[in-house]
Amino acid sequence: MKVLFINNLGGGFADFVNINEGTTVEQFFHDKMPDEKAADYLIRVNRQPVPKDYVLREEDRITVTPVKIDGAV
Amino acid sequence: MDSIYFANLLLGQIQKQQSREYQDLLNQTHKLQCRFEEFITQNRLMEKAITRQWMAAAYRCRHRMDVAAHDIPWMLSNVRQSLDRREQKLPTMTDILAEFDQIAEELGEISFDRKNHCLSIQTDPITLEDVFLGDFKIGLYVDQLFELARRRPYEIIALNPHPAQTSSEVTHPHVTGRVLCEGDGAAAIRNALLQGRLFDFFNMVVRILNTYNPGSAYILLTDWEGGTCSDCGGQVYEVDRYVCNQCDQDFCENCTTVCSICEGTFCYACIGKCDCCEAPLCKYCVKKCKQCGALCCVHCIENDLCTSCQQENDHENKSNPDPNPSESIPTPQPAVFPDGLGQAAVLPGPGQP
Repeated sequence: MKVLFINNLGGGFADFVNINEGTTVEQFFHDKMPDEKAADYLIRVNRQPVPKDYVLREEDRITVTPVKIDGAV
Repeated sequence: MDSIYFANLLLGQIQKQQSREYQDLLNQTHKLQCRFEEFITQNRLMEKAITRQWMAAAYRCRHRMDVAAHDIPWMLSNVRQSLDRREQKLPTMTDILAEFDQIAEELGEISFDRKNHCLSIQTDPITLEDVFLGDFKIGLYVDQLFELARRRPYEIIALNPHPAQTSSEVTHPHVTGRVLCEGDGAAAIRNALLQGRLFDFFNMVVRILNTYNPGSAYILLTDWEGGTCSDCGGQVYEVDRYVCNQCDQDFCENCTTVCSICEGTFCYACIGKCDCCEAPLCKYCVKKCKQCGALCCVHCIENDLCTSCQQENDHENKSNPDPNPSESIPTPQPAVFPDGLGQAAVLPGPGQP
């Protein structure tokens, strides 16, 4: 099934991605961002905070935003 | 009603921005087509020139083909880059209204300023590394969104400014003159605005404001309340900060002095003194005596001679008056001693013959 993944780390692209039925938001995060810790990110599904065992559904909108973003000069 | 007005405005701007991107793509493909046609034309002309044995003309055609052949791959890669850019789905009115709701729910009240077409939110008071910076207003000028490629359509206003002591323009380590340096968030912020994801935009700006990156700050938080004197190491605040005109470092009042000629401020390591009057003298105002090489101030040098050399020459002129004063030259002359004058006989040392 397809979900919309908006990754605000780096380029900040929004893309539809294919996932297996029954994928939880925690599994999804580890799959897409294997080197990152979930605690360092604000994760929203359909604009709402969800528990980590939330099972994703077709057309869900998942947004991942770093809690800390380095500014510059 | 405000939210619908702004949602419409925003949709119009995003559409304009997308039209501009399509127009850019059309321009690029048009240029590529022209260059390719030029290549084909020159090829045809070269063929004709060879048939008629016009070798000079054939050479010219070949050269033009060579130039076009170099340009075409570069132009094609530009077109490919534009085509590869992911097409942004135009948000709907419902999407934009949902963005407003999410902002209100997670980031606080959103203000709609119809006169300036500005959407704004206010952050909570921000403290970084124990330095209180106050609260900020993030104002997004919706009517400037389609110019995103040229200028930033938003500004950061310190509501109760606690700027750095050394610059009132720097209200946050990553904000100067109301402009946020987005650093790692730049691309994500741009994409959020292009796609009408207003919550993501405001959220990321808030995240940057709440993050301190000492490796790339306008002013380090350790220097926020003023820097340290480069000489004595004491605290230096803006009101009593002195910058050396030569080494550009910060000093306290006690560790600087003023040049007696230009009145510029200098630290003690960068300033000397006049060899004649001992007044403080910077390297820009120093004059060198042509006779003895003394470094003096402008007051102690006349005709390229320091006061002592002038006195010496005057004394010499008095003791050896010129027999023909009408032919004497007034310019100072280096002292020339007659042979033997002032020389002492060197006696042999003990054990020497």
